[in-house]
Amino acid sequence: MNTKITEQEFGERIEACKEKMYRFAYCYVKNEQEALDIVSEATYKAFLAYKRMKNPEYFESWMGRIVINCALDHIRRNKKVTYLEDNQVEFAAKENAVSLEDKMDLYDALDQLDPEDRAIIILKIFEDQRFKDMAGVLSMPENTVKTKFYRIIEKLKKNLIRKEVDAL
Amino acid sequence: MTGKERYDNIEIPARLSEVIQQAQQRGRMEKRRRNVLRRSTLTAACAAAIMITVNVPNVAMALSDVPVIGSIVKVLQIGSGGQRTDGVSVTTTTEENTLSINFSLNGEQTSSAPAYTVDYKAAPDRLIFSFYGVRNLDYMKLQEDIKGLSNVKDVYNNVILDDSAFRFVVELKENIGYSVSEYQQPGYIQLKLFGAKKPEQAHDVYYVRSQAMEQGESIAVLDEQYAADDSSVIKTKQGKFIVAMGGFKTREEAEQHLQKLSTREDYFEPLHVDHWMSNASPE
Repeated sequence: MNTKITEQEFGERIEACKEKMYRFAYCYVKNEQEALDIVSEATYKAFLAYKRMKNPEYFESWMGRIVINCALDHIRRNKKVTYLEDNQVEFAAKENAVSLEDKMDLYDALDQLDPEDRAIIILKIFEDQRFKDMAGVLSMPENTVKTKFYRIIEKLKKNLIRKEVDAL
Repeated sequence: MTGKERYDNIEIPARLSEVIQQAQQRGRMEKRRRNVLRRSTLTAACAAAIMITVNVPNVAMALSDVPVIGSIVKVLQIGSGGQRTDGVSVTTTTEENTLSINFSLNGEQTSSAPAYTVDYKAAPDRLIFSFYGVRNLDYMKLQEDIKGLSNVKDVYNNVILDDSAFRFVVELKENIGYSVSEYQQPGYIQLKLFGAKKPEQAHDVYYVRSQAMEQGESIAVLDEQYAADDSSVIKTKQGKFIVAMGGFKTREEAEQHLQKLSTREDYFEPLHVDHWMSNASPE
């Protein structure tokens, strides 16, 4: 049975997930033109490779991985890496809030994360994906994804506490 | 507003679709370029073998009896040429056993031929023409013109996964020689057919082949998958199409090739070994 997708199907599937691709790319660079450049490069690379895709039913996951790789390449090329440890920007902490998402604007916090870690926050917090699906996008075991996610959250929490203490 | 709300509210630019379309077009052009390169490499590698099995015409034969318009770029048996372009229209004209394939863009003849490849395959003797960057083509007229040449047995097109490319197959009668000439100012390609001097004895040829299918995308996908293995699409005696690789002298060689293909990760369409006479079409 032939499970390969045709060029027309590729075009339809890309069209169906284009907004998700753009948001994903935008989170890495926070700039319209650069996000469009990443989407363009990801689409180009996917066009050249879609015939070799083993599981067309996971097209969105496959595309997500390509967008992440293109975003990381873009950042490496432009050397716009800023790490959490070096961050001088304080997160806005809210009183009486419980969850990290309530206490901290994770959309801004993304900029202070290692680029390799940003996808985990985007997929889990913004895209509401299950760890199992995230593992598919990130090409890593589910348990590794969980470990990384909780490690990043802990890192963000510690940073938030440090900022709150510093502010006293 | 939470981070997730800010994420959901990221404004989508109006030109996102346009950017995606352009990226796909860029991919299409790159694929075409790679196809031309790949086919040129393959054909160059087996050119020596083909030269032995086909009666090679000389340039004088290619040009004789034909009024020449424009300057000749090359005369070839197999290979590639032309310039990268897009949206070229294709028309054909014939004169005895000579076919001219003409190209125009916006109503004017182009100065050079678009990117093309010419392949020769045996069992049955076939010429496979591929043109890239062409969109408007009167296939019925082309088919009618080519069938009108007395040394041609059949003509059929191959579906390929590139809507700006076109491929057709000219099946030759037995012991027919040919030459392909590319011209510029204006750009056109001329196919000349003539009787070969040394008739070849028909013999059994072994192939790794797919099942027979109707013309369509499934067979095109399969052909593209095995393009690097020198695959080609052949019309069967019943008018269906198969993807075939080889032209092996023995069944063992074909079996070995099939074994190698079947261990690949992307092997999904069952293939099998078959044989037919070098001057016949498969079942």
